[in-house]
Parts: sequence; structure tokens; C-alpha cells
Amino acid sequence: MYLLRSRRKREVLIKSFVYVILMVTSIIILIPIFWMLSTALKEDSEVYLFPPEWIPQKPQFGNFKRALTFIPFGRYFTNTSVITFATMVGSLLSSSIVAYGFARLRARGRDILFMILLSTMMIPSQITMIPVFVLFKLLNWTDTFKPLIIPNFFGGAFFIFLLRQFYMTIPIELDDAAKIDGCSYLGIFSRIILPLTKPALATVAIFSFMWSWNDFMGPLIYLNSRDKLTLTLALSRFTGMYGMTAWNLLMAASLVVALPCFVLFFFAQRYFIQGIVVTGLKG
Amino acid sequence: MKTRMSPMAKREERYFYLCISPWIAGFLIFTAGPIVASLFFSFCNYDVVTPPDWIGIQNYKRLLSDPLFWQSLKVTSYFSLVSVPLGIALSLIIAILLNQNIKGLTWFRTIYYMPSVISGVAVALLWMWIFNPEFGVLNFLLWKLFHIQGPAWLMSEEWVIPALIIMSLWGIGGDIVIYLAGLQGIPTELYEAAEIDGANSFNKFLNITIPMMSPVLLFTLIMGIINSFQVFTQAYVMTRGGPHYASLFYVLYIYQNAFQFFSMGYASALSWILFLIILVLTFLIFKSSPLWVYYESTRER
Amino acid sequence: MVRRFRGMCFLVVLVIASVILSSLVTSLSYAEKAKVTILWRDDPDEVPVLDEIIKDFNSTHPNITVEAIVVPYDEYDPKLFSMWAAGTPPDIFWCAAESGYVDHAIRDMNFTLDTLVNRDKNVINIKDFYPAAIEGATFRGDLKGLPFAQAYTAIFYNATLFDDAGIKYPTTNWTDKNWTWDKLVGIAKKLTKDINGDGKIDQYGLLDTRDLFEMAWAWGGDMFDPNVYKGYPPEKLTLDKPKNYNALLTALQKRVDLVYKDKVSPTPATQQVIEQMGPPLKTGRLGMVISGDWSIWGAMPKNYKWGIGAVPYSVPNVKKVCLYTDPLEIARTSKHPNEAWEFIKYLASPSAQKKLMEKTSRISSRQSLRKNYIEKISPLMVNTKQGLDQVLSGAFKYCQEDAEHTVFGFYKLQSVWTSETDPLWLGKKGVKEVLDTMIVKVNQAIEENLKGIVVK
Repeated sequence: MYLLRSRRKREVLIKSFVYVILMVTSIIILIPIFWMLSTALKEDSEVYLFPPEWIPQKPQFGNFKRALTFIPFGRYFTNTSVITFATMVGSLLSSSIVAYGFARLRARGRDILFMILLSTMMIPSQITMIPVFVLFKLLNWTDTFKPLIIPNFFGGAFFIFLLRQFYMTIPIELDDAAKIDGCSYLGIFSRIILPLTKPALATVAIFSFMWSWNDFMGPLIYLNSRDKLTLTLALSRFTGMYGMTAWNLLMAASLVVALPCFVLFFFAQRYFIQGIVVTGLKG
Repeated sequence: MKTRMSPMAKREERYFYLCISPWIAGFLIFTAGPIVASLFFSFCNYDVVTPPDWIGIQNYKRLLSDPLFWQSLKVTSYFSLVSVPLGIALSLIIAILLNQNIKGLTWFRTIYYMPSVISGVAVALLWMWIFNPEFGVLNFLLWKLFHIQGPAWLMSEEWVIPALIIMSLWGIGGDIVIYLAGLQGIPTELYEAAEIDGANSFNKFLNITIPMMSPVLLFTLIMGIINSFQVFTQAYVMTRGGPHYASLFYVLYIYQNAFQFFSMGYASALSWILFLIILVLTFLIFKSSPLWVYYESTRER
Repeated sequence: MVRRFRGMCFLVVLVIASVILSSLVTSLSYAEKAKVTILWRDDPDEVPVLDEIIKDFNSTHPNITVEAIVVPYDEYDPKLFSMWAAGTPPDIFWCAAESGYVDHAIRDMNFTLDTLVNRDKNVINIKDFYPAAIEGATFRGDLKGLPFAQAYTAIFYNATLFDDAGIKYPTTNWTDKNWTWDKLVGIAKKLTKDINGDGKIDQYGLLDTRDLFEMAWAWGGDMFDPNVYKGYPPEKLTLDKPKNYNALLTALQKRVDLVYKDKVSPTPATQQVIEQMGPPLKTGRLGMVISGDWSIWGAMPKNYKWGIGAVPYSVPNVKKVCLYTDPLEIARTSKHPNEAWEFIKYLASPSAQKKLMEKTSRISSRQSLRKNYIEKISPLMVNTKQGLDQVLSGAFKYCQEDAEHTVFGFYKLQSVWTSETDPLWLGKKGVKEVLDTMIVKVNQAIEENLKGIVVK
């Protein structure tokens, strides 16, 4: 009896401790976001106030409308969605298969190829930017969405590496057992590996969505026509030369642009909290 | 060469190459060309708008006697050495806390992830506000809570890198997500079995969580190194490398040479040195990984 | 087993094939019209007007389609160079970011426009342009761009703060011998206040934003040889001449004094906060700013009155400030240089220039339109129209083009001296020590720049 009580007491103590830590760090994280929101709601002249104010006198919710009508929001939203969705599908399809090869199948040259895969991430993109652009020009892909979408169908090094690591946490005995049951490699991949790494696949989906959604340099270099631009590029419309930046509108627009990522993450979370983990390790 | 491969092994190899063929194709079409081009440029005097002029290893020679090259290497290593371990530790702790069964988790997780979503210039400018020595919220809080006179942060040669490290810790949401996914893969039976054996929380963490998470930790470690050596946006927007070169990150120096100083050739040489540094580090970590990374799938060949 | 292998093969091939197929169906362009692209710098005010002007042009020129590519300031040069490297340069561009038209000209990126200007002299009327602006687009005697606007330097002030302190406004007369640096600092002291009485200054008298080369000019020296401003690469700084060295040394000391001795200028930390919010003057906590006219761009807060004055003499009989010209250049590898010229001509025409001035805060390069500019800004200003005209004619007379545009490889040199002078502004090191190291470092950068010229 006593033991049980003290154990419960300890549990409550630990839980409240966890809560305190989570609360404090959450507040730290939210302070900058609060500042964004407060700036987004400021009047034009209030933005210049010195010293700056934390809470706007009269919150200007109209700023959000102003920001969204200043840029062709609908068009850019569609463009960004198309690119992002295609990128996500491409990354998931290709990276999951390639990672399977690197994680589960033995072959000569595998380690070298894997090292090459990793090393493609080690050259700064700033330096390959111009050759890559020239390449897309040769393919006649500039000013289309192709350079932003198609390469993703060939697997991204980051995602391949990530998935490989996750695949490798799955016991190999599962593969062997399946093989004995007459399962092919494709069968192992689709019936064992994929279902067991749902959280990792969700991670890939979220990351590729977020990166593609927020990509700036890619659309900037590859796209020219004004009706083909993306939301992140449109954000720069609020920043002018010599401090002519419309801070309130920029922050308002930034928050709106980030919203789909929040929403996606909020709902994709259930993949991380499935609770029951089937590993087949039992027995 | 070992003995002849069995038909089974041959078949496995064939499947391997089939599986990775999309990546090989993509590598050959999109990645290899530009990388080779940048290697070529590193041996040229090249300003992007005029055709490159072959000058041999002069760019690499110049690099050795360039104080800014060494400075940028120093700055970047310092940042990397502190921010990577700190980021991994912090995000692992938070991920474990977030993996508990407590109320409001969905919200907490979303909050932690928020900073990674709002990216780019808005965030950088926000942090300039926070770090401002005279009006920033950070020094304000330091004074109100602890009566500490905060440093000049971004305007101090000593504090600019710590400031950028703090800022980088704000964006660990991505790593937290990866760890959460990893923690989900650990079978609960392992913990249950350990509890029966009388293990306490710390034992469980050390003997189950860490080994089971080690492949994911390896991933975040290597990506952390690669990314921290390529820090750019913060420095470009917030400090422009200052004050007095104290935040001249390596890739910022590359960028300046490539697009602002008309020295694409030199910038390419710098990139290849960076490439070699990261490659060696990654190689060493991989070589050491059998000592600390536990793969469920490892088997004798 | 074999069937399954085939199945997987099929899957992979399908993905690749679909990709290749979609790429093969590339849109074919039927180029009847000449398409002219212009690379513009993103700006909330300028872009809508440019769009309007392009629309007018396209409707009156059925054979030409002009299209604007708009990129942020920071990415202007990377975009320009990428397009250039791929062999598809924008037909029209300008030194909107770090690289100057001289950097472009030395690399043979732009056409010489003199023949075209002569051909169309009746339409262009080059005499109508400010001579300094034309000079600011000339490379070794050749005109490399046609200015569409520029920024001028002056003192911009918050007249309300002057009224509150009971001080006379700065003069508009550039040749007023009594208008000296010491006078300026004296006024600035009267404008510097601790308003809320917390012991900290929260209203500053003066902010001087001029760069090092402008400071050297103002104090009667020069960092470069006169030839350098004509497009010949510098071989070293001319600071080895005592006259130039002493001028810059004094200038730097005076600037440091503003912050740490006279205490009329904000510290770097405060300045950063102020500048992040927008043009410093607009905060209402600054009496005077010496800068380009961007200090009064955009909407000015209505609760203050504003004014423009002449920059004072720092040393007797010397007066030189900076002009920031924006000359439109035609790409050397453009496929439609003539059509590009048509558009530049159109943009420089009085009607388009009027439109640009109405909707943005820019001042036209055409002298004949100065009166329109004065009409536009005078309701905001405490100055009389004559006063404004006087201050403007001085600003365009006692000026020289921004070294960022005219000095070869300038941006690299500037980034060196900006970094080297950081400890000075932060109050960590003395003027002489900083200046001496800076000279060595900048000279090294100059040498590197010279080596960087690609031999053809």
C-alpha cells in the first residue's frame, strides 16, 4: 500500500517537473513568435516607434488583408501548393525505395556509393547554383516548375540517409522470416519495412513539404515570370531598399505563409503517437 | 576478391542496384555535372561572366596564406563544435519529455516545431531585435531576473558566436521530430522487461533508449556537422560577418567571393576544401560507428 | 521470382520514363515579337509603377514585349550572373546591387550607348540630364547606361524638433561660408535630449551615414586617384599622400567624437535598432541625418514637419558629396539590343519619368522635371520652394558619383574597410591604429582584385 502511494507520488512529481520544463521552454520559443504577431498588428506609423512597443495600441487586423491583397496571393498559393505537393510525393516514392537498397541489400560497392551519396551534401549549394542553373537551361527547364519538382523524383540524399537509418533499426530476422515464407524483396519492402517506419515516412513528408514550401533560392533562380512565382518569393515584395520595409505587412504575410506548415504538422502528428509499436520481437 | 558469389547474393546485388537506380540516375543527370564543374572552376580564374581561365593550383595556394580563410575556418569550427552536441542533447531531452503520456502534448509538439517552419529573413531580423544590447528583450530579462548586465551580443567579437548558437538552438524542432519518430520505433516490451529487472529511469535511458536510438543519433550527428559547416543565412542577414570578421562563417566567405567579389574560382577552391574537411569528419565518425551505433539489422556477411 | 523482379523493374522505369517524357514536351515559343527582359530590384513602391509603364509601352509598341523579372536586392547580382552564365542575360539591367556599372563594363557586359543617344538626340535630349548623373554612367569616356533616377545627398531634418528647441533651420545655401561642421555639431548638441528623464539619451541630434570615401571627400582628401573614378582599376589607395591620409584621419576622429565625445549620435547598438525600423529620421527621435534622399522616401509620419538643408563645410572651400545614379544598361549579349534601347528611351522620356516620380519617391534625372519634384515634396517640407530648388541645385552641383558604381571591384574594398573599422565605431580601438591596418588590408584587396581580372 505504502509502496504504491509513494510510487504514485513520485509519478506526479516527475510529471509536474516535465510540465514545468516544457512550459518554460515553450514560452521561450513563443516570445519571438509573439513579437512577430505584435508587429503584424501594428499601425504603419507605430512600426517606427522608438523605443519599440510590445503591444500595439490598436491592433490592426486589417493588416492581414492588406498584406494578402498586396500580392496575388491566390495564384502564388496555387503555384506553391503544386510544387510542394509534387515534391513531397516524389521524395517519398524515390527516397523510400533507394533507402531500402542501402539499408537492407548487400552488394559490392554499396559503401562507396553510400559515401558518394553523403558527399553530395557536403558541397555548398551556393557554389553549384550556377552550374545547376546552366544545366536546367540546357534542358530548357528554366522558368518552369520542373527544376523544382523533377529532381526530387530521383531521391534526396538527406531523406535517403534518414530513412536508411530508420530501416536499419528494424531487426533483420523479420526479412529472413518473410523470405522463408516466399516473400520477394518488393514484398519485404512493402509489407514489413514501410509499415514499421511510418513515423519516419511522416517525417520525410513533413520535411519535404516544409522545405519546398519555404524554398527561396530555388524559385528565385529558376523562375522568371511573375505569374509563376511562389509565396516565399512574394514575401520579399514587402522589403524595399534603405529600410523601406513594411514590417507589419511582412510579419503578417510571413505568419500566413507559415500557417499551412503548422496545420500540416498539427495533423500529421498522430503518426508519431501511434502508441502501439508492432515489432514482432516478442517471443 | 573473395570466392565466387552465390546466385542468391548475385540476385540481392541486382536488386540493390535496381532499388538505388533512381538515385544513380539523378546523381548522373543533376548532381555530378555541377560538382565536376565546380571542381574545374577551382583551378581557374573565373568571374562567372567571362569564360574561365586555367591557372592550376593557384587558388589553393592563395587559400593557405589568406588570413580570412583561417578566420572563417576558426569561426565555423567553434560554432559547429558547440552547437552540434548542444543541439543533439537538448533536442533528445525534449523529445523524450514529449514522448511521455501527458496532456496537451499535441500543442507542445507544435510549439517546438514552430520555429523551424517560420524560416528565412523574418526570423533573422526578429533575433536582431532580441539580441540588441540596449533595447533587446534578452538583456532586459537578464537584468530583471538575475541583475546581470548582458553583453553586446551581435556587436561583440566575443559574444556574436554564442548568440548565433543560442539562435540555432531555437530551431531544434526538426531534430525533435526525428527523435520522436525514432522513439516510436523502440518496442515498449524492452522497457517493460527492464522494469521487471528493477532498472531505474536512468538505466533504461542509458541501456535501452541510447542504443536503440543510436542509428538516428548517428544521422543527426552527421547532418548536424554538415549543416553547421554550411551556416549562411543567419550570418548573411544579421551580421554580414562582423564585427571585425568575428562571425565570418565559411560559406559566407564563399558566397562573398562567388557573388560579390567576382572570384568564383577562388570560391570553388574554398568549397572543395570545405568538402574535404566534412568528408574526413564524416568518414571518421562512420569508422567509429561500430563502437557506439547499434543496428538491429547488422549481420555477418 | 522473375515476374516480381520485372514488376519492380517496371515500377522504377515508369517513374523515370514519366519524368523524361514530361521534360520532352517542352513548350515551343513562337517568337514573332521581340521579347525584352528587364531585371528589376524588388520594391513595394517602384514595382507597381514599372508594371504600369511596361503595360503602356507594350500597348504602344506592338512588335516588342517587355517583361520585368523582379528579385530582391540581396539576390540581384546572383540572379544576374546566373542568367548571364546560362547565356540568357536580361536585356536590360543596372547596378542595382553590389556590382557597379564599371565592374560590368570592364567585363564587357554592357553596350556603349553614345551612338544610340546621338541617333535619337531629339528624343533623348541628353543636355536635359544632370551632368553629374551622365558622368556617373560614363566609363573611360563612353556612356554605358542611361540614368532613370538617382539619389542625392543632403541634410534631412525633423523641423518639429528644431521648433521645440527654438533653433533656426539649417541653411539651403551650399556656399554659405558660416555653415561649418562645428556649427552643425553645436546644433546637434541642442537637439540631443533625454526626454523621459531616465538618464539615457533618447533623442539624438545627428546621424552621419556617409561612407569612408565620402568622408575623405568632405575633409578635402581622396582615397582614390581621379582616374580611378573614370573606370581605370585602382592600383593602391592614395592614402600614402599626407593630405589624403590626414583628411580621412580627421574625418574618422570627428565621426567617433559624434558618438563618444559630443554624444550627439546614437551608438552602433541604438543605430541598429533605429535602422531596422526604417529610415532613421522617421522615428522622430533624430534631429538631422546626412544621407541620400532615401531618408525621406515613402510615407513620412504626419505628426512631424520635415526639411532639407545643405551639407556644411567640414574644411573651408571644400564641398563634395555623393550622387547615386541608376543607369540602365543593355546586355552585350542581348538578342534584342535595339528593342531594349526603345524601352530605355521610353522609360527616360519625360512622360514616363513624371509617372515614376508621381508614384514613387525618386527624383528624375531630367533637370526639367525638378520643378515637378519640388511640387510633390514641398507640402511635406518647411522649406520654401525656392529653398528646395536651391538645396537641390547644390546637391547636384557639388557632387560626384558613388564610388560603388565607378570604382572597379569596389564592393570587396568596402567590405574590408567596413570590417576593419568595426572596432573603431564600437569604441574599442583608436583611429590611427585602425586606419593604418585598414590601409594595408585594403591595398591587399586591391591587388587581389587586379589578379582577378580574367585574361581573354
